[in-house]
Amino acid sequence: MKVGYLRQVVPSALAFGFGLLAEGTPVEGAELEMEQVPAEGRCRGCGVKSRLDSLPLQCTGCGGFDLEIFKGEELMVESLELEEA
Amino acid sequence: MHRTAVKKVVLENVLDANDALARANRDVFDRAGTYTINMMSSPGAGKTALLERTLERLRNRLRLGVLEGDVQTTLDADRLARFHIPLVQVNTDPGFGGECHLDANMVRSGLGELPLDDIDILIIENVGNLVCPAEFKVGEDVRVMVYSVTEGEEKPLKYPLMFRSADLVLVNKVDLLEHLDFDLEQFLGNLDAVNPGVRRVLTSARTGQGLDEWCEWLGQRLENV
Repeated sequence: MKVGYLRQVVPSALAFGFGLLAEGTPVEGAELEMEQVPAEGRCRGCGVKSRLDSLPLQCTGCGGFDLEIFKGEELMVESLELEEA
Repeated sequence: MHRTAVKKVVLENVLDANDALARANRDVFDRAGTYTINMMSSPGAGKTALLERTLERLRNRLRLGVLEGDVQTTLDADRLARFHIPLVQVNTDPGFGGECHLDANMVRSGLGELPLDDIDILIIENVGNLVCPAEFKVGEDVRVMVYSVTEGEEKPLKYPLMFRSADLVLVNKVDLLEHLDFDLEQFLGNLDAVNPGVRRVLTSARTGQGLDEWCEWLGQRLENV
């Protein structure tokens, strides 16, 4: 799974919930791999692209707050790895 | 036994099911010509009180409808019943222990009870919560946040995603400012740090401050439909 920094997802809680839901199903014991995607955005003021590691989101170039966000809002199942019995 | 691992690419958004239903709701609203507002706040920020004042002012000028979302009780719907407007209460408690937000499907479940063709503006009063409602589109045109000055200056920084998703912020209970240590300028600075330049109106459901501006904003929504 890809989990963006801007989604309000707590990875440990998601993994805990996944484990509980998987119990007693064919995917019991399956491993949930999470890739955390940092937020990135482009400043509408100075045009600089920044990686945004903390809140509030702030341009690393000019310190501006008005950003166009293009990464970090993912919450996506990217792939499944299956084993044939 | 021989086992082979196979990797399948899925690329599916976890919230796809909700987003698809939200689009379907939006289509229903658009066909009926109903402008829809998702109203969000903490519990107790004054959403229902503001709605009462709003309905007192506008119910003879605009055809308003309300969808009330709460974990339990019909207390909010009961407060609004005296206005005799189209009103439906959706309780989220049949969900997993009582959902802390409205999702698109819950809103959909209430739409059958609303005469949308006769509603110009539908206000969806979400469950009081500063976190989860921001993640779930319900088919709205805009998001309005109610924030009360008793909640402190720092909440935009602590709950940035909801503040970031708001199109308008009603800063409510400003009649209490003189009794509080709340620093309004600092709050507005924090708000601008997460949602630069977002429109804000200082309101008091108690004194009526700001309600003209809020009601005028509501009326302007229809000019853009």
